[in-house]
Amino acid sequence: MDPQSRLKQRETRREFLGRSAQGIGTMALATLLHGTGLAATMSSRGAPRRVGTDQWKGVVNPPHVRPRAKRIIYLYMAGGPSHLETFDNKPKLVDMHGQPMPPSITKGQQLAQLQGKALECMGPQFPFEHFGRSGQEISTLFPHTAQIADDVCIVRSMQTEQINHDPAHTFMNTGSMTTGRPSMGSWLVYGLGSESEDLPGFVVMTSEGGGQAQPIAARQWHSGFLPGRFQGVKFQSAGDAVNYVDLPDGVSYEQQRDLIQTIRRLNEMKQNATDDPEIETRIAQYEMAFRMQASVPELVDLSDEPQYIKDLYGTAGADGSFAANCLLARRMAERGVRFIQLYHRGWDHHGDIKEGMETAAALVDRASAALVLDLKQRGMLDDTLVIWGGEFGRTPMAQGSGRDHHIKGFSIWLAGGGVRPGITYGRTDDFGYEVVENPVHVHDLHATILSLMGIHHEKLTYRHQGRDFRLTDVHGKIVRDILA
Amino acid sequence: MRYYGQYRILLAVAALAVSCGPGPGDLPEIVEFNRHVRPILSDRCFVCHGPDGGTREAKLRLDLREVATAKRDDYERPAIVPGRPRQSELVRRISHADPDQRMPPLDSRRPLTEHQIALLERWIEQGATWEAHWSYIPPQRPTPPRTELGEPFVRNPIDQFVVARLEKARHRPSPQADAVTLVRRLHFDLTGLPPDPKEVERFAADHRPDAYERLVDRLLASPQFGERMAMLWLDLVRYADTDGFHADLHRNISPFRDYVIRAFNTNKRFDQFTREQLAGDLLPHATYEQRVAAGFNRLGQTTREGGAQPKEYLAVYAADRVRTVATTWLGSTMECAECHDHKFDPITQADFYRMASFFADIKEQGVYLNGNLLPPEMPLPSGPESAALGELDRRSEQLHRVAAPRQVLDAVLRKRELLLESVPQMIATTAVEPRPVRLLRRGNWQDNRGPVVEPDVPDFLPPLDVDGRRPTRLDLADWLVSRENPLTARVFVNHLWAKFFGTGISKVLDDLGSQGEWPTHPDLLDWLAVEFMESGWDVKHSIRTIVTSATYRQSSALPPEQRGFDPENRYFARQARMQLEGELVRDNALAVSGLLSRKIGGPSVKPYQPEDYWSDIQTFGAEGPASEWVPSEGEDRYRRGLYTYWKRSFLHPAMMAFDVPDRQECTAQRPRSNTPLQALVLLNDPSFVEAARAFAQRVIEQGGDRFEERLQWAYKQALSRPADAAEVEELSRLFKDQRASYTDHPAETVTVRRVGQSAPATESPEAELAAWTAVARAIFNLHEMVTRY
Amino acid sequence: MLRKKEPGTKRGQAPFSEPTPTKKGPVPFSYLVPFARIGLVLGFGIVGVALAVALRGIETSDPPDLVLFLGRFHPAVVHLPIGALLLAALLEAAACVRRLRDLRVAVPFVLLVGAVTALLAVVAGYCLSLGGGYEVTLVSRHKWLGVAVFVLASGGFALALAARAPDSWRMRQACRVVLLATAGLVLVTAHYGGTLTHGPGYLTRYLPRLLGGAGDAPHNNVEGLIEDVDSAVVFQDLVVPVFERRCVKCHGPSTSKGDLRLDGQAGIEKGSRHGPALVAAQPGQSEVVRRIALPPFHDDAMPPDGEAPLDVGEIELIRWWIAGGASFEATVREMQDPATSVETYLSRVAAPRQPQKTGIFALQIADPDGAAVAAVERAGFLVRPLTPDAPYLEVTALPVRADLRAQDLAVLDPIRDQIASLDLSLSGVDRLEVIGRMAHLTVLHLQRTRVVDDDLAYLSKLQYLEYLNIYGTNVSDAGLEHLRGLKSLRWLYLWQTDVSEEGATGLKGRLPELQINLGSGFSETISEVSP
Repeated sequence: MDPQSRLKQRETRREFLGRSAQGIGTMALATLLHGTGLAATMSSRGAPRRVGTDQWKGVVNPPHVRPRAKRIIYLYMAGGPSHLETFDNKPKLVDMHGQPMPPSITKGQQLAQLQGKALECMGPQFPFEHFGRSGQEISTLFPHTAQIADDVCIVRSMQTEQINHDPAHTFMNTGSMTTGRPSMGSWLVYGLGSESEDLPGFVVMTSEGGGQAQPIAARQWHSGFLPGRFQGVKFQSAGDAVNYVDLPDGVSYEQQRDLIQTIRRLNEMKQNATDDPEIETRIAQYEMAFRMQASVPELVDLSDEPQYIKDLYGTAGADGSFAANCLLARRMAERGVRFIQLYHRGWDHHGDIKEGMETAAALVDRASAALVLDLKQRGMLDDTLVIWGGEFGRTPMAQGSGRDHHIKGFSIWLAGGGVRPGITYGRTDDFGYEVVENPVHVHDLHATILSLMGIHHEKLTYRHQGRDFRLTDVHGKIVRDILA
Repeated sequence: MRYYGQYRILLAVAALAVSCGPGPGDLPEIVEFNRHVRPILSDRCFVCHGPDGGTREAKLRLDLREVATAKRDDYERPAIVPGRPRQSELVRRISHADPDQRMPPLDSRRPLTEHQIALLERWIEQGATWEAHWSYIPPQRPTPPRTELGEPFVRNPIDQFVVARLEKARHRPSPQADAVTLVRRLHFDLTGLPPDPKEVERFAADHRPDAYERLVDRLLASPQFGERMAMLWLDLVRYADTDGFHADLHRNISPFRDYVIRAFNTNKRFDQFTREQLAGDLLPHATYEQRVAAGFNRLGQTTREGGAQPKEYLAVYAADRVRTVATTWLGSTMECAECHDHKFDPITQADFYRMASFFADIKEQGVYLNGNLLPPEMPLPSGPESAALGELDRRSEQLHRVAAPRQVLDAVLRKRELLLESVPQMIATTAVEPRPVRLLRRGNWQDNRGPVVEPDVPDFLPPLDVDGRRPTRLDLADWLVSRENPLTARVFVNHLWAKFFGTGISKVLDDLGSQGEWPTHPDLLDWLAVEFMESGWDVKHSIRTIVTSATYRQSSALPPEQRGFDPENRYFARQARMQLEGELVRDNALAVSGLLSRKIGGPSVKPYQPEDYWSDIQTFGAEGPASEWVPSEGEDRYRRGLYTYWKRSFLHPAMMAFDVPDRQECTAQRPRSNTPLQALVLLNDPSFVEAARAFAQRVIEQGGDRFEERLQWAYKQALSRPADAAEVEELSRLFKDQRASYTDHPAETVTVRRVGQSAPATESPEAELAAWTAVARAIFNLHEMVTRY
Repeated sequence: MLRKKEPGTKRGQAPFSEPTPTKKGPVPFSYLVPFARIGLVLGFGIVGVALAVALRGIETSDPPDLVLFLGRFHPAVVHLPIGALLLAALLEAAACVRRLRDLRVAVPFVLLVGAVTALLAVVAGYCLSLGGGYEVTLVSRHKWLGVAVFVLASGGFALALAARAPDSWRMRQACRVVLLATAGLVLVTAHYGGTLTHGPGYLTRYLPRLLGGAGDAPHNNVEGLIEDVDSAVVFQDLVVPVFERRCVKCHGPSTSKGDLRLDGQAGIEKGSRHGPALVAAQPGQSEVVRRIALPPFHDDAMPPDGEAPLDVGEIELIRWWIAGGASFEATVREMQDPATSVETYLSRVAAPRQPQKTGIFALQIADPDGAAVAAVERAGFLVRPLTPDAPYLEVTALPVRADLRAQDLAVLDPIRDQIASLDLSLSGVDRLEVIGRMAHLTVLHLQRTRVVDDDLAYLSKLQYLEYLNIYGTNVSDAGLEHLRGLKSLRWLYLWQTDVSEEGATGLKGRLPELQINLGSGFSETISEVSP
């Protein structure tokens, strides 16, 4: 093609940007035209590699504030781990064990399964101790997490609005209980793009064990009204790691490559004839798909990890366990995945909380801490934000031998990525019921996470149904006290 | 590089033009409230000075003339003095140099542009007239404008509207597309399936003047038409096979889907279609079909989660119904009024709950904790079963008439009961004494202080007249499809238009309110809406009108002169190129391969799906189709995409990749993306590989003997056109390479043969079949294959 | 200058010289009579008004509006006599030069203008002083100096007229002396006036130390940064500095216009002559907020007279402080959550939130060349701006790292000054010359590359390097020697290298603040980490 017509073609391409970028519209257009973005999308054939042709650079470019973290690994403890058996020590509750819960505290409050039942206090099931130079208080049920006490920031004053799993997950992930809103990973990839060209920017993995495994719907990583390309991609623990990433039966890698080259050449012929910019995008997407076919199997193949690293995490190999997922998460982080979310379904302890917590902690504790240690020794903890926590906590009141859902105060921890290490933030009352100091609402957590990634939460918006939506809706304030 | 630089500047200018709108110099002669002013007021001012009383500042409303122009105690001047911009406080404030005085306030981050300020000034200067929002004024049939161009550019009134606007902008429509493109376009748009090569030839050879119209009529009459249209409707009414929340378990509702297909195929009047869905159970002498239609009211997501509060979920279901009805029929974002008055449209919070209370008579539970049943349900007899039931009914009636002995009658009735018990159930709508619906303050379901509200429609729309009795869902349905209702017909024809042109006449399909978009061709939209209503809500007639227009028949190529003029194709000076919808991508491959089953209706089916995709599903002991993905047997594996089992929390991943909505919520507009995951689906999904192999088999059996002959046959089948020399060369190279490779590794050919369930014939040489499978896959992956031109 | 003025003077001569050309002997002054009359009438009129006012009672604390109105003209009028009288002196001086002798003819007129406007200024100034709010001694001195200027100027006018007569050499000399004195007096008077308006030390504030000035003036608007903004007392640490910067020169100890002092709690609580300065919790009702938020050209706007208005952050800060109850003790933490604009302001004055002003961010660096960035992106690197407001870039080789070799780094050279963060991890990079030239590099990822000891020599000049990751390389103790001079280095990752504990300890001895990570694992027992 002569330069003139190549230019024309680009021109067409630009004109169609609004269409191919699916209504991202003028904001994205402006961003793409801005500085480096322009250069990136303009570079096309002739260059040694077709890099950046359709790589999404994000709409937040340059960042709104200086980013402290480049990527997030969210260890999502689905089911609602009890804060009273993890990070929120309540000695007074030990004394109150078995006694009725003071009605002044619970009167008029929303309860889940305990609604309308007699309310009795239940003391923490495991002793707490101080750990590390920072002296953080952590349940002895988590001996490995105890060893990273100086690296984590424990937030004991989380609050959410939804008391049942499904809506609470939706709320934690999208900032709204209404379904159909984008999840935070989608927002991040929309805002920042991905660093990786051959892996998705937003990856999800799941594991289970330790309690009732409540379901997790794909809406938790859905892109909502954002274009589908920002959707989280779930890695399966069995079969193809990513749906349809494996070659069809009876087709070799070389044959597939041959086929894709043919498809490309045929598509190019059509493009030359019709001048359709969508075809150029299609060609680029086939190339990325082909790269994914090579990179995903390489990623999930843990055979090149030395034994002592597998031992550190406590996994034998990619077996779908939380430990294996943590190791995979580190590998994804190294390969530029922006947002990695690991669900561990096993914290819904309505009964037998003692045994349930023991099992769940045994599956999760070592690997969570190992991930932080491993990131640290690789120099990646500085720009990787690790978050550990569930959709809510559990009641100080007993539900038989367990605890019910609790949304008024619960605990999470964060590490790395610009978070102040070795501190505990916020406080609940003597029962661990209500936050009495420095409440951190889910919206505030979202605002803080975005801020650490260089995004001001009020500025990352998307117009849908005539309204500008954002992750924090109309709320959210950055919790500056926990920033390093 | 030099070109590059110039080009960059051009782009920057273009971007500016796009982002900032025209400069102040381009003010319209006459500033129109709805077209120019309302969008500004709505977007920048109504948040604080709009319909929502809760957040109103300074007691100022800019949506009402009497308030905006009223004398004020607290300011010297009224906000707006018609004819006198300089006397108007509004003008002073929007152009104030002091950031503290200026409106909108700094922290809203929504400053007015100079152009917008100038528009507002001129509007006030010209007398500041208010109009009701365009979509709230009942449409009158406009006279189609005169155009300079005649045939073939102008064939019906649609073309007059489109061409007149183009002529005003000094542009011309595109020429008519070639016959092959037209026949493919019509097939995909009206049936969702590719044309048979014979059909293409027949059309190309048909030189009668009305050949095109005949083709349209043939397609409108085909049973696949209903399936195609059902896709649109099922997205809106959020049809799915599972209950959505939490464990997302199965429920029987597929007869509703079949009802929708039948309704479109039999061209059921849209007003009747509406009545049956909203209130089929309330119709006098409701038929079985009408009661199935009323299943619409139970399509929303429900929960079976332990610990969920029934009261909360009843509120959730009510809100979901309001959202769905408002979006589907009224194109209104009524959901905004769940917690407060609408910020932009004159919808009050009370309107929201009044709308919700229309549905308060539906028998339902907040939380369904009793196993698999979602009461109330209705029996769902199979063909023979319903025949038997009908027979028993006839018998009992007969016995009644002849006053037969009691025992005989009882026996028949018992037999009928037994039969009914054995028949599967479908969730149904049953009316009971309506429960009271309260206005929930700030949308909080725990707040019991709000007043109880009665069913009613919003004030700004035509009133609902029921002589003082409590209005029912049937009244609501009648009101929706009354001639006075300004929205329903517009919303529906706008949907149709978007289906056939890629973009609506008003772009935001789910919001024709203030925050939606002013239609590009308001007169055309009104003409279509009136035509739709006056034709007796005749859906096929409207579609026929649209697809027989010259506008529809245009080529979709982007002519050079349109490049800078209309990149988004809002003038409709060409057709749109559209990626096939997710269901159709697979339907197309199956149809070409010959595997496609043309069976219509029935329970949803399960084609191949990656193992483990449902691993995060927890069923809590509930059995049934939702718990396990067992691929369907026989032809059910090759059914059209709309019959795929619709699990809301884990929709089939191939459809997800192609932007098919999971239908948790009412979806008016599907996004269209182009991602690597789509490439992976087309390359590796066994459904597509098997289809390619089956196609390869057909090619070998029916395509002739020589390679090129076969390839030309394959191209005709898949793309309705011959392959050109370069394509032949490329694919012949692929074929040779692959055949050589398979000849060296015969074991692999066996594997290729085993993909999927359909048994390939054994006569053809193995390597030949495997290599042809590769060629077929190449064709199936072409951009052209998944695009409607 | 003078040469340039000549043509102007000639043009200016026209009205004067045509009726009676100056070269023809003594000049009758008749042409000045009408001017003199007008001047006298005006002058007396104003003096009369002033007297009348004075008679109505100078003691009255609430002078009539007319007086205040006239007073407002003082700043405008006052510059006329200054200019005219200085010009008169200048003309007289210039006329000493033979070629410019003709200029002399203008002197009486200019002096007359000077005298009349001086009178006007005195009267207006007097009116203004009645409005109060000024330090009394200063005002008194300024006033009498002003009167003296008027008297001298009038005298000078008389002498200048007299000096027009032939053989009036003495008169001429006397006139010159008077003119000189007038000019001197004008300067002194003006200085007092300036002190009244702008506060003491105004003139010498920016006098360079070399010339004996204090030299301690802040060089931009940034105050001393606040270490911990959240614990800062809103009033004392945030609001007062704004007042001091922008308001206290008029509303402070030396000048307290409107009897308002904003230099401390007492003055603010007292409010102004017109009422309270602010209403706690009601910024909308607070005069101070209203005034500072007005557009600059508004009559009531503060600061007045075309001074730059307060910026949005400052205004919002004060509004926020008042909205939160205008407490004199509350700290930032105890206040309501600030709006974004206040947050922005806080981040401007907060030390920890202003990292961009240290290290490389204190440097002035040009923006990166767009074409060069494009070339880097074409080569497959990811490039992102590091911060919203600096030219620095973060460059990542992630997408191409498997194929990356040292020679591919040449493409980075044109933007070497802008690259502040570079990630070449897991690539085939070995030689690092190009990196050695990236003077502003702060973060460098070289983990799992082929880097060896000698390569680190290239890094020895990177004075801003804070983070270096070389884990998984073959670097040994010898390589660390090259890092001994990296004073900024804080984090060094050496896991899976050949570096020994001793080597690391040795480097840490040189760079005490350096944190070295040699890898970590779990302790065997928990008790070891318990305190």
